[in-house]
Amino acid sequence: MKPIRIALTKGRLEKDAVAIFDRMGLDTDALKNKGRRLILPVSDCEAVLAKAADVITYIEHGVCDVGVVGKDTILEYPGSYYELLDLKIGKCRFALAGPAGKDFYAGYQSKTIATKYPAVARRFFDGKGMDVKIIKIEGSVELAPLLGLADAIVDIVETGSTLRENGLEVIETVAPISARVIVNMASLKLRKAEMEDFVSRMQAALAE
Amino acid sequence: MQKYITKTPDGTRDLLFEECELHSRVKSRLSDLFQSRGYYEVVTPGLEYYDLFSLPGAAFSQTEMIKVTEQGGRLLVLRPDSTMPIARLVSTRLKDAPLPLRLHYAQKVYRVSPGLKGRSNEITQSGVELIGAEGRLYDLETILTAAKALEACGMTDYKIELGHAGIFGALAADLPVDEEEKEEIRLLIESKSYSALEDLLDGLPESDAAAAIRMLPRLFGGREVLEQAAGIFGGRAADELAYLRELLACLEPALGDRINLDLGLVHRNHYYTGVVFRGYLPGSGDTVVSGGRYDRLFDAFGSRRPAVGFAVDDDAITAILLAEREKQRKPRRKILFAAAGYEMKALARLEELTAAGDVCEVLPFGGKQESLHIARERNAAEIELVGELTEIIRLV
Repeated sequence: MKPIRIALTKGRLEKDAVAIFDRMGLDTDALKNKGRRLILPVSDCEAVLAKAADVITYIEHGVCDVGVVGKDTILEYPGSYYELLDLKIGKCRFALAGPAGKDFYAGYQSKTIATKYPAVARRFFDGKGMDVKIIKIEGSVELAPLLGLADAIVDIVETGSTLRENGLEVIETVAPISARVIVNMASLKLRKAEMEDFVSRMQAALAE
Repeated sequence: MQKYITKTPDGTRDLLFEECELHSRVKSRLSDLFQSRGYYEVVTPGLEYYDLFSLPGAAFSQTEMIKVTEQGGRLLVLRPDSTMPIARLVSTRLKDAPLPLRLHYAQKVYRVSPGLKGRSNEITQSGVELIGAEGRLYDLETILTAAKALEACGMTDYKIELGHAGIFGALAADLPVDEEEKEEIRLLIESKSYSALEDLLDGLPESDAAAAIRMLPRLFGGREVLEQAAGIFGGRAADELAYLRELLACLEPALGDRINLDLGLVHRNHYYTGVVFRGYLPGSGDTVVSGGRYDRLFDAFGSRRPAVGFAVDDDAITAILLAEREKQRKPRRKILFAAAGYEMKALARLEELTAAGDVCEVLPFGGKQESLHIARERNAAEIELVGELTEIIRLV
């Protein structure tokens, strides 16, 4: 039988996720000293590190079985996979933010929103029945309202300090975010016992 | 302007040689099987009126369909599935045919999938529709035909899971929620989002229905699922559960542990009304069989014809067959791991194996886990750990 293959999101979530694997009693040496290898042995499993959106792609296609990815990415790239567990790490939120002290909803003009997450922004404003113009920005989104390109931004907010430093404030929370465990649908059905065991061990490691 | 004369549209591709041959073989094995079971082949047009697929209960959203306009300006779509066109055909040209009517097809369906995801917009499906067929006998026959279809393609390691379209509806009807929230709950069950579902249900007053819905996404697997659900389902949901118990009891002797249950199978295929089922195969991350009972679909055509059917994804099966064939073609590669002090023993073994025609290499031994990992990375079929004793490990 093939080993269970885990796709881990690189960066922000990586350390906390590896700590969970440690508490599960998995051998995470390879994850901590990666070298040039791309597929890393983790006890009986194999792990790959990937960008968040790629984790979803690998899981959807079933080339990886279990993935750890932020809810932010799940909301932006919805697809068909099972979302089994909230790891409660990497907590933050999506928020609508704009220049401090200014009423975003005032006036009849349609608003312009800058964001790295156009699908999330689109759904949020669709839900409000508001017609807005959405501009996708790749880098620091806070810059757009400062330069006068956008009225507000939809972005991930952790502490809010970047916003404050730039004279912006949260207008409204769009959605809470934390890391989730996602699994391929066919893998879960074909290898139920193994997959459930793995996920429940993860859950137990969280409780500790 | 660059002319698009050298490439196929996104989500489509040419099939060549071996793949094409395997694809045809899958189609012909399936159609032979269906015909031997009394099904007649039909072909419906590639283009249909958009209206057919915008009927209430049609399972496709506007954005999923590829649209063109007719000369008069009417909107046409490239057929996104075969069940609706066959329902149209049966309600018109075959309206006086004796029931039950057994029809099968092998044709392409077109669905727009999100760009750059590596998915096809053009899928070949082979399937059956058993129309004017009410009751257990026909449900059992159809599920068994689906299992036999996978076997006919040489697949033995499949899983078929049963669910019931009525369970979620019955439970959700007892919740104090509006249609929108109900859809939100359905989506969370469909994606088995345990934690999000619990958060949402925590905001609702406690009730038997809420407790049952909370469990719904977890209720999948073998016979034990029936026991887990028995205590928490009431009313109509309990009736549907009893029906699934009957089906499972009938099918288990024939299919063993290849038949499973997933009570959280609440997919947005609105036309299903009774038992629903899906098939999975190792080597494919997607559903390869999908079907169920649809007793209300013909209402839109002004007649009552209970029906049941399924479709097999021919392309997914072809991909599995092709991958298997590639694997067989590769020479069986072996790796010898030599423990310190046993280098010459390993090298002697290398001579032995290569003389016998194997492809073989030697690497230093650095622990069993490590060796297994290296072996998988290098696609080795077999490894030998050469020390005082030699351990042979076969990898699939």
